[in-house]
Amino acid sequence: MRDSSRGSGESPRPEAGRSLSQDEVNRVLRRCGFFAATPESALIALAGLTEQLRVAGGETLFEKGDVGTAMYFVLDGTIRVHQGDVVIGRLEAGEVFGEVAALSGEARSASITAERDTWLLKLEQEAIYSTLKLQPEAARSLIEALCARERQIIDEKFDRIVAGRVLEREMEIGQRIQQNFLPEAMPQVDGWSLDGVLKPARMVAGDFFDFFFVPAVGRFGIVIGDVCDKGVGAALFMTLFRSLLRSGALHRFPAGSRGVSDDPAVLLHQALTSTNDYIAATHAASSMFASVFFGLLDPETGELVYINAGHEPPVVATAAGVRARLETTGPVIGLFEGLAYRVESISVLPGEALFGYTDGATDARNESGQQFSEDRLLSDFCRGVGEGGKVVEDLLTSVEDFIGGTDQFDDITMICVRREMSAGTG
Amino acid sequence: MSNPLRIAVSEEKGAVPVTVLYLTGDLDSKTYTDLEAKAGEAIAKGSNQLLLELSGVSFMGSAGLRAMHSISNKLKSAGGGKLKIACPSDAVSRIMKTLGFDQMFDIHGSFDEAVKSF
Repeated sequence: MRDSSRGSGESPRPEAGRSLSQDEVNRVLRRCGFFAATPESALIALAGLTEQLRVAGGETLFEKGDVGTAMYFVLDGTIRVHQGDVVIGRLEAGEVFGEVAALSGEARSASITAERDTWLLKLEQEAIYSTLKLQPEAARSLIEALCARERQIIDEKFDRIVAGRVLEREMEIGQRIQQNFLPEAMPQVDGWSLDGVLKPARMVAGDFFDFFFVPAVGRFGIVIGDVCDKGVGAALFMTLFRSLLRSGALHRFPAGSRGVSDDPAVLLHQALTSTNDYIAATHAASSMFASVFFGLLDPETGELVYINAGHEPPVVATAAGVRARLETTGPVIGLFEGLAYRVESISVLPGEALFGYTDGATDARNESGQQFSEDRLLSDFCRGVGEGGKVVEDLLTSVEDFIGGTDQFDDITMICVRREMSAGTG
Repeated sequence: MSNPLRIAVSEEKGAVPVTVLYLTGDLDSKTYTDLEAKAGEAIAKGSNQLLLELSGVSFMGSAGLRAMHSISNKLKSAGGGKLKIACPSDAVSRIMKTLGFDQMFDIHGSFDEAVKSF
């Protein structure tokens, strides 16, 4: 839309109520590449067919999709080329717009709004074509100017494609790196089966889950979390939350030093509160937080000590139904230092399973806007536990089928920690 | 799917002057920056006792908490102040309970009590 051959030289100065003289209009047309080769006599005839108009700041001249038969020259002021709220460009004195629709009779490809009081010269399609009919040699500069515009558009498109590919490659690298922050293979624990799935809504995710052995207390760490927001920002914080929680649980101070405990509840509390305090103190300006369920499981006895920091309550369930909901025991982490978190405990009995999920699963919507819902997720989970097999993989497939062709708007994560019937009861 | 957020601002005379932001609509990922901006304007004008009146908020997502945290930060940078919450609906109270707002903000069921508490 922007004229590639922006005119040089002084633009006519606007004075309230003033009109351009015939000579001035001739000069405006001549400076525009479209009419560079138009013979003088034809240009004078064309100038006589122009109309000068003033558009008040904020006024929209035409909308994308409107049928238009005129092209315009900006004499003074600023014109915004846009589609809704997206601004494609701004045009000032000496620039031309609307020529494609004017020459082809097609709908306007963008909307045009004056940013301030603007003075325009308008030329109708009919005037252009009648001039071309009388003076066919005038077509040459018109075609040349259109070709130059086309070349510019192709160049810009090519640049955008290249920039888009570079960004896409960067995102793929980010995606691969982020994958390394999730368990590569599910840990093998005698008498238990551990499983987790994560499906990002975009290329990278703000959800996370983790399984890792904590030798200091002989327990398995079980984590599921959801960083607020989505996309790259959430993904960066996901790696931070996940790493600090894991490091907080695994880090051993030298023997005899204060601040570390062999008591799993104390260790868990330290790992979580130190993560909260660090992020709240260091990254306050980002206002990013995560809901986290963090438990330490004794594989011998089935005892699970846990903190639920603002996360959807995981459940302990069998095929017969949900036996316990592990409600929140403290606020989400990452915003304010020194918040209080209570450690709770529950025993996972032989045949029972701990099921954790993020709200991307329950809030997933189908084409009619209905939510998958917590009720359906939990009842499908209980049925899956009864049937055996890969419960969370099957559940993810169910949620995906439910979403169908609509957009998945949030990351979906689910974990299942299941105690086999034959395991020792401790 | 989401409703726009409208914010009206007025002053209340408690023990200290309190700037009240009356919110109506959805406080979500599309609108939370509007709240940040409006509260930012009040803080820039010298208000340091802010009350969010939420009775007109039908939906609040986690972005609401981000906005409130960011307002707390602005108050801190402006030399200190208080941000309190009044009259959340049942739906908003539920999400605030899950996220653990009670440890982060002073929440009042009654508007008058909230104003008096400053």
